[in-house]
Amino acid sequence: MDYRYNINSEEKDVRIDASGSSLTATLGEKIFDVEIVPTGESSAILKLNGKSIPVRYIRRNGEIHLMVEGWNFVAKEPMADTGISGGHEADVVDGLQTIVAPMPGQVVKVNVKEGEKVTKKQCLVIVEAMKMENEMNSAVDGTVTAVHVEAGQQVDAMQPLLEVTQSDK
Amino acid sequence: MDASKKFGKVLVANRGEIAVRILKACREMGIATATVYSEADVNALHVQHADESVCVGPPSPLESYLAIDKIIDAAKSLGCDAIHPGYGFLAENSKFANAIVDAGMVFIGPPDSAIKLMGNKIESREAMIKAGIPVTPGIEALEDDFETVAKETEKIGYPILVKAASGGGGKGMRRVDDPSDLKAAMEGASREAAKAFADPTVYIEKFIVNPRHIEFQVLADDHGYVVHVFERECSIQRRHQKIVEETPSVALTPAIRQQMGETACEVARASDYRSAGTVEFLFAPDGTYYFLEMNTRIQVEHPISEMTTGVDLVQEQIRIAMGEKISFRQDEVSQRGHSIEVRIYAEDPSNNFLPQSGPLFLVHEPSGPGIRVDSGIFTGGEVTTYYDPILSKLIVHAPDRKSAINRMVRALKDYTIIGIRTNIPFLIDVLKHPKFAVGETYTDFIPRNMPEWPYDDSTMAEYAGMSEIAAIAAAVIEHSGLGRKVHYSENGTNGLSYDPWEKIGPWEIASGR
Repeated sequence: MDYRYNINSEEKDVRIDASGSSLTATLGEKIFDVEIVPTGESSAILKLNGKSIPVRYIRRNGEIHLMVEGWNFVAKEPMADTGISGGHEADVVDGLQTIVAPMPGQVVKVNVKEGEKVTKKQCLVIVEAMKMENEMNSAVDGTVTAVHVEAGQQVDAMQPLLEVTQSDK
Repeated sequence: MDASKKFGKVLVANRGEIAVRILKACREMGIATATVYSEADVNALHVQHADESVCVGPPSPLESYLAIDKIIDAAKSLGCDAIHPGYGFLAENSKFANAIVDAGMVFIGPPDSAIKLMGNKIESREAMIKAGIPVTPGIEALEDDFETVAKETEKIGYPILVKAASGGGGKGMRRVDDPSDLKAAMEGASREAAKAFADPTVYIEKFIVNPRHIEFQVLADDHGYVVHVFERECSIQRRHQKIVEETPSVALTPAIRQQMGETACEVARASDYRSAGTVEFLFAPDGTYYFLEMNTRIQVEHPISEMTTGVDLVQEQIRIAMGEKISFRQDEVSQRGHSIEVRIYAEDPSNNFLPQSGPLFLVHEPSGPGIRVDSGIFTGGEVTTYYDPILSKLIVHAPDRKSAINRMVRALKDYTIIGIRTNIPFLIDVLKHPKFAVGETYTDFIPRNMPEWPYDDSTMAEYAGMSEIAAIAAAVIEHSGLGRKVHYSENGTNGLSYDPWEKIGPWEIASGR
């Protein structure tokens, strides 16, 4: 049986084959002997090639939320992806980087002007949320092509703050 | 002892893990409990733990957890004898301490004079210099003219720290290595200080290279007794927020430990201190140490001292506030084994540690020998953006440092929080770092040893491996129908094979014959 999941925004295909009572999982070119033993309502031991890995999981809204060795993962069917799930990182699409507010807060300072050249890791704007100042840095070298906010302004989560067009490499 | 001073009911003016911890201490002492909460915290854990609770206002801290009059009215209307402020919020607010006393109740903390003195970093430095306590070189009163400040700073020598005069907890603090960054750092620190502490005043202090942050826990009572329960090392910090604390410190020899403990007690005496307090020192590689500040509250990291000494610091605070003597003498307390605490924050470590909020689908705490969790969260609860992102603290105790580290890594891997992301993966990698293992825990540990985290090769590889395991786990969970609600039909069969008992085979359940 084939399963396709979007794991924290990264697509992975897993095939599960049953032969008798044992299962194998195929991921890319890797094949694992696999077994899952429930140990509680939301916990199980995943046996992967004989190694025991405790996992915790819960189903929510058609997604499987997992915790493995301290890391959080959300496994969702690719179709169910809302598009926002990629997180709050500066998204660079076709050479255009849009800096968005990580969460509701207040713009403390805008460090750049439209037309200004910026470098990777340069702090572009500071947004305060939960009493801490969050420095929003550029992920690319480029030129500021739009500034949508000013200092003191309240912003919502995911609200675009400014745009940077990436320099030609 | 004057029996009339026994508390019948105590109000805890805080929220989250520390409120829960104090409420439990009161319950152990047979004291009735009360608390306050904001409209955002109707279902919060501390509200459930208190016998009685009063909603004091909207989510904004200024209108609820910082609203002195409303909190005092709540305590009076419930007939409380005393108020414990926890840490943060009003814990180091001398007006609050005074207002409580004026309302005929007891403030479980130091006298307002000590709060005022230690709350002003500039005045406390001066007082400590007078008392012969060593302090770091710095500029206490900054001139309005920036050029003058820049010149004076040049004399102290870079790197320097810009700090908030009324500050604490890393807010309003900036390190400056290059004179050209001084102005921006002062502005940023001043802005943050104005918002966090309603006081934009900042000052400049020399930055000691390769320092350790070592603090001593002290207790002082009305009967003239001042004791310390040894040190805590809090060198591992991220953006000046402590994230890992341990005791004992690997850097102290018995002789230096004793000397620093005595200095800490001297600081408490010089400020006419009462209750629990923490004297922070900067410890230089050559064994010299400088007084940084005194925190006039119970601290986030107090449990590690409790684990190694067996003293319940919150109960001692309450007893001292009731006018009793500290329950032990200095020569009766010693350090046993090693304890580490980590702070679990609602921050996404894979995305620049941005604060997280949302409902908690699943919370499961680790357990086992030498493991303690002080928590403010539960399955079905919610994390909001209104308050500090600390969710809980994980504390371990083991016979030695190496086994404490191993225990902490295991406990962190067992700690389940699903719904929002936390800093747990980051904490695991800090604890597993070879430089942590050998005790090279300077305050610049993170930028020095983990600057690229989580984008360094080994973390990327680990994460990639984990995400493959997650994909396989999801597929096998789906394949086996695990975690689905099962509806039994009338004939007792169901279409899903999730029930582990089904796998056992053709056993018959014994009927009551």
